[in-house]
Amino acid sequence: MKRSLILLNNLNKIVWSRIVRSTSVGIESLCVFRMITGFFLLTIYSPTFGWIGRAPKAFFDPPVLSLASFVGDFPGTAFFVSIDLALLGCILCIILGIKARLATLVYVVLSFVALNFQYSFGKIDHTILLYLLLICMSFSGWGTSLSLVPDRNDRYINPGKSLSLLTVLLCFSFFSAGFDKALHWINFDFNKAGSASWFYPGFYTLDRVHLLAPFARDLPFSAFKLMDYAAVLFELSPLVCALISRKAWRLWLLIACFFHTANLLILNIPFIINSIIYLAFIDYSSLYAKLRRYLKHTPFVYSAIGITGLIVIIRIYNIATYKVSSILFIPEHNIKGIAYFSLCYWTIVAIIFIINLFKRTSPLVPEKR
Amino acid sequence: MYSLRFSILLLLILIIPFLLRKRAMELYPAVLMPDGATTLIQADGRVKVEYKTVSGRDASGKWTNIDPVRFLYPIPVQYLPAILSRDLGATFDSSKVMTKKFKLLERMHLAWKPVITDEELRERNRWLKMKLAEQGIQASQIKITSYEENISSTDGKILSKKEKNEKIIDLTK
Repeated sequence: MKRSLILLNNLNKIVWSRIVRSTSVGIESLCVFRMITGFFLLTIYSPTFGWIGRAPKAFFDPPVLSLASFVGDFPGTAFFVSIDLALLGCILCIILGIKARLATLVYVVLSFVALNFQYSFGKIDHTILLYLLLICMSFSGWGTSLSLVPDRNDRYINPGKSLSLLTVLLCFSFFSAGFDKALHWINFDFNKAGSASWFYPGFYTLDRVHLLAPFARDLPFSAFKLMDYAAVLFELSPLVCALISRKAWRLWLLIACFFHTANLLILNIPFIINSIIYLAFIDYSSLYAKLRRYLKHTPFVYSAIGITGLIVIIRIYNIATYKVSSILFIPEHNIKGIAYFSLCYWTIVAIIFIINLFKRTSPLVPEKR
Repeated sequence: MYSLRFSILLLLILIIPFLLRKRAMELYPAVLMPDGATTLIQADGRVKVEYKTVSGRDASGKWTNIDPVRFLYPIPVQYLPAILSRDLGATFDSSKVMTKKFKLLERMHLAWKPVITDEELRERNRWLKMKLAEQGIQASQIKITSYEENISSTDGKILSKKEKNEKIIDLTK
């Protein structure tokens, strides 16, 4: 028994240390990433929830054992508009570095509450990775620099641990998607395809008819079977790549960009939210010194404040008029616009990862705490 | 580095919601991505696809197809199938409440059979009429039609289309 425990302990140490070696970046990089995340939340993924308060009660069908199921109805618009404004405030605090850890955690809690009600129409969306990123990053030290009111450099801060935990959560979430697919999709019956069960209903019911979707309808059925194999291999491989090496992990992240781009082109499912999780693993430390210099440059600061202020005004207008526009200037009902924007966006992200793959970096030695 | 105890605790936190989802009980929040592991079968070079459409009937009696994306906007379009499966909120999924686990949760006061009142249905009708008016459709009735299409798996041509079911909702009540 004692021997087994020692073995398990050693295995645990090896696994975590390998993951840290594959994924670690410096605290300076994470401070830059904090600002990138803030702008992502402000411009690309900025859900609002005021519209939920105006939905008819007849549509209320909450998930079992959820907060919403205990409340019993959609709360009023005032509740959701307050949350929307508070979330906007949290985003500004994240960008500016005003008690970033607290702002991040408040953002997550408020989002979970609001999303619980949003998922009370009978379907749960799977945006959890963004919030896991934020929780992990709040303990990474990303608010200790490039900040107006920096977080204290206390014992809870550990970039290596934060990113390694995020990696494990990311790997498990893909495992949860790939496991059942592996059971039902991996066979040699080319008359059965899982990707087809995603494609056809979306094409006919959800207006997913853009980009390459009309051409995908003309594909031979066996093409969908090949997509099944590729999807399962991709979804079950991240932990293996994280354990192999840093290069393997970065390669998996690049493949993830291609996977989401392919999903977008054929299934018109953008999953744009996943990109910010992948971008956490890029080393931005070369930008840190440049950014520090620019932030001392008054015209740059005023321009940045001006642009941010303008975006905030647009967001407040959307909140006040119950317009839903996660991506700035593109309303949620503009499926075509979202598809084309997402294509450009994923292309840029993929280019960043291609450059990153060939960049020489060495794993950082994790800090001993 | 994380201790063995932490790793075991983490594993439990991750595994339990994953296993509950396999029992058709998805918790939120939980570290889960969409599984969607159903398959479509091809037989004799054709694929059978089932879907629903929504149309509105105006005062002249004409049925007009409703844009599914704008229909319930700002409720996201991916929620439409779930809402349509409950006849736009008029019914609840009775198969859900007949299960042993639902009855157990009900006894523990952790789940309730939803009760849809006439006032809620009237509120829903007013809301739907407003939504349709935004699309320029002055509808007095909505029809939810289930179709079954056979599509050629070689060139995507629609080989046959059959109306399986139709449900009309009167918005004037």
